[in-house]
Amino acid sequence: MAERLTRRQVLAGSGGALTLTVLPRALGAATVPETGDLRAIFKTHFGDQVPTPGGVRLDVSRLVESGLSVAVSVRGDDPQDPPEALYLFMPRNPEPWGLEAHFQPPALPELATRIRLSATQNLTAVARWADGRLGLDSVTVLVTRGACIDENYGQWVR
Amino acid sequence: MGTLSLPVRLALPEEAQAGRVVSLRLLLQHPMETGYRIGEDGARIPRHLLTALRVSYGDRVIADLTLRPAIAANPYFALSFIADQTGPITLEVEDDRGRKLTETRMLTVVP
Repeated sequence: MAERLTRRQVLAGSGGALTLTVLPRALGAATVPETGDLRAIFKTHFGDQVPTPGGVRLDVSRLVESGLSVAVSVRGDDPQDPPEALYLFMPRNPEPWGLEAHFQPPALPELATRIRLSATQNLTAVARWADGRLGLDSVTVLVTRGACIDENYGQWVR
Repeated sequence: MGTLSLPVRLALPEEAQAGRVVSLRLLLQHPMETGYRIGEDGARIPRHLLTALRVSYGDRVIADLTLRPAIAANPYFALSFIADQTGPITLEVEDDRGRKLTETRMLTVVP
């Protein structure tokens, strides 16, 4: 009877309980461990410049049922100091660079769209100003069902 | 360059007051296939994405978007701009097969 419990069996057995106990905690947590390295992503997009928090606002639900379609909106904070470009990064998606938008007056530096999220992660918006300044805003989005589960066939696809 | 044909729903007023903010909402019917999904036959569904969206107002490109696989299927965009002159609003959408869709509406600006 010395059958060893595998990690898989333990997870399967306690799945329901785990979900119930982990969910509220995850909601309260400020950060999520990142598998995707945002710094590396920033480096390829912005070189040695590192975005600092502020100047841009990202609006998104903190808890989403499905990662297949998540409504987001991004805008520059100060109408007197509009950024010329907005970026969206999803560090834990297979492809973390999600959107790049360049604006010219009379366009306002704001947009709303719907995105895919493969897992719970820190969704990050970056704004770039004409003088080279970079600002960011980041929201931890808890995704209960990621976009990488195939809707029809229920299997993981990567 | 081929022509891209897909259902487009565009919400844009025909008339706006000068100096006022005009909002443009766009819904494109497109799968935005990422290339990561596996179909019923076990094979990968080939990547098929819209890659660019450009909005011009008169002869100015006012918004230029690069679209990536993280944009959800049936892409939706809401943009806004300040009405400053009567002129055409032109949308250009491109896909990864080099095809292009162009849609134009007139915006009349009243004082």
